[in-house]
Amino acid sequence: MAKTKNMKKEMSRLANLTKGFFKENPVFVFLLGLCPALAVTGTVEASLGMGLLVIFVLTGSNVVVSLIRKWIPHQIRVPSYIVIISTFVTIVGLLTEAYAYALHGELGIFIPLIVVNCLILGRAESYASKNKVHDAAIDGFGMGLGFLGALVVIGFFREFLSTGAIAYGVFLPLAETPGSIINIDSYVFSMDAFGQAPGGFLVIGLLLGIFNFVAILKRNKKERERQRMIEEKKRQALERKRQKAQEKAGAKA
Amino acid sequence: MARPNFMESGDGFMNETTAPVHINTPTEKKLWLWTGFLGVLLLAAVVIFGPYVLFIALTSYVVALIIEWAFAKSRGMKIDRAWMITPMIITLMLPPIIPLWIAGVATGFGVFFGKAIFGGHGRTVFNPALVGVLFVLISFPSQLNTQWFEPKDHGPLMPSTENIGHPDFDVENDAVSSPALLRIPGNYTTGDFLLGRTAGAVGETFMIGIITLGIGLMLLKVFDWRVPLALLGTMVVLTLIMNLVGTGYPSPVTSLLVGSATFAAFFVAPDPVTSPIKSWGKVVYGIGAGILIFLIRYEAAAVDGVVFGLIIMNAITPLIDSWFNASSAETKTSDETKEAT
Repeated sequence: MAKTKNMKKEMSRLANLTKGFFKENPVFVFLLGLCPALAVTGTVEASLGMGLLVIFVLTGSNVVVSLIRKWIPHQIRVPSYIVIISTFVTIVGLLTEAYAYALHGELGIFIPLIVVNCLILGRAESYASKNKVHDAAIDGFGMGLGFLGALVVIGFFREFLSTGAIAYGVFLPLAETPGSIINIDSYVFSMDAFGQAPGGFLVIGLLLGIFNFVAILKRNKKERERQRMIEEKKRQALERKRQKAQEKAGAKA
Repeated sequence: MARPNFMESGDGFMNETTAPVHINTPTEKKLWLWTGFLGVLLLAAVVIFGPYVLFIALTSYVVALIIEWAFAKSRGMKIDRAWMITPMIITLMLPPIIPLWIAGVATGFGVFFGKAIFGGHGRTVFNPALVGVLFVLISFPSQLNTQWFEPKDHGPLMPSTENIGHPDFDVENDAVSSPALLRIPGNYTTGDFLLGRTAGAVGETFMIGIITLGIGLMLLKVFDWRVPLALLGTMVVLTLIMNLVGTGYPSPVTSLLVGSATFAAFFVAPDPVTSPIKSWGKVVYGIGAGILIFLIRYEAAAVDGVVFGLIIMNAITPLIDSWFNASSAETKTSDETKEAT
């Protein structure tokens, strides 16, 4: 008995961690945190850095909000969340400035702007303020990972389309290798528009479209299965009725 | 947690789209007239620039038809009835020595993002051809802005014999860049301009053809005459004032002869789907486009402001419609709409 309960809890924790990856992905399903998703995803490096910073801030703020959730008056909860989040953002900003100056230079104004990232505020409001500390921590970490994944996917496509490099300025080994069949200088075909703001909108829009397409296919499948179940049950009920009628007829005869 | 609404409302996703069609969607006959008149300009370009422009047109049409076919197939519809117009306009707005793959990218982007995902002809926000040209204009600035071909010095180009699909032309040494042409139009005479023996995009140089064919389209009631008149009039007035006041501006007539302003004013700007409905709205649209083209061409870093100006005016067309209390959605189910969907 105790074992099954424990297992159930474990499972739900795992679900809590992984729900941010696809099912409740902050960028592609909830459309939260689109400002950094548009602004810093020009390259994979910057997306990765931004994602890591957001994971740290989100986990930290979720833990603290959950810790003091019973002492925050309902009326001023949003300012309180903002103060907590900005504390963590300040920590992150100073740390990156001290130990990862190149990243700080690349992200620039978007590090302080993590304060107003709706994803973090949204998780504080909708999850951390209602749940226990370890659940909130897992939720924050999982959602942060989902955000990081989304940013890296966007960054990969944008960097590949705008410069021809895969990541970190590495090109596909197609160009000018003696004896190879394909000789393509991928940077010749690079489309600058994807490195600029419109490219961010286009790539996010396309990925959103793919996400929705898959979701709709899944939903339609589920719907069809449900319909089949209903029809099966109807058929069974009809058969039972007929059987009963036959039995009755047989009894009469 | 509740899922956002757009997840619930995707029923018509793979099926025939049911979005309303623009009230002014041209009939198939008008579309063919439009394309045919542009085809005459393409033939003139073959004489002026050489047969390589036919390769550009062919690439455009192949790419456009592949995308249209894929979308029609996935939606269970017939091929969009306006498939022929977008690749033609794109061909005529690209430089005559453009690499073929750039023409393909322009058409692919324009048809996919400008037209197909909006649901086809009559439902677009921006002119699909302008979307495609804008994309390559931003993405490949060196090929689109600095590598123009001067037919007066070289005569029509023959396709290269050893490198198929590429013109016989030394891009590095012989190309001219267009910003200089827009300000000081070189050693051209008015005759050169009228006969199209100037550097420029495929369809924008042959002025006699553009003006007569454009007026012909208006006489055939394919387009309204107000948009071109307002656009070109605004440009003439602005360049006249600036030519008298400031320095470095060409004369008003020259400003119409260089660049793609005249071509776009006659054949692209009055597109009924992406321009306002009411007459005075069309005038406002033309004046706004003229001001934007003037500003971007002579005061901004971008080279020829035509694509940018028209895209911006397309974006605010619904606003202009609402100023004049017009609605672009087709409310009655006429034969026109049935044919369109």
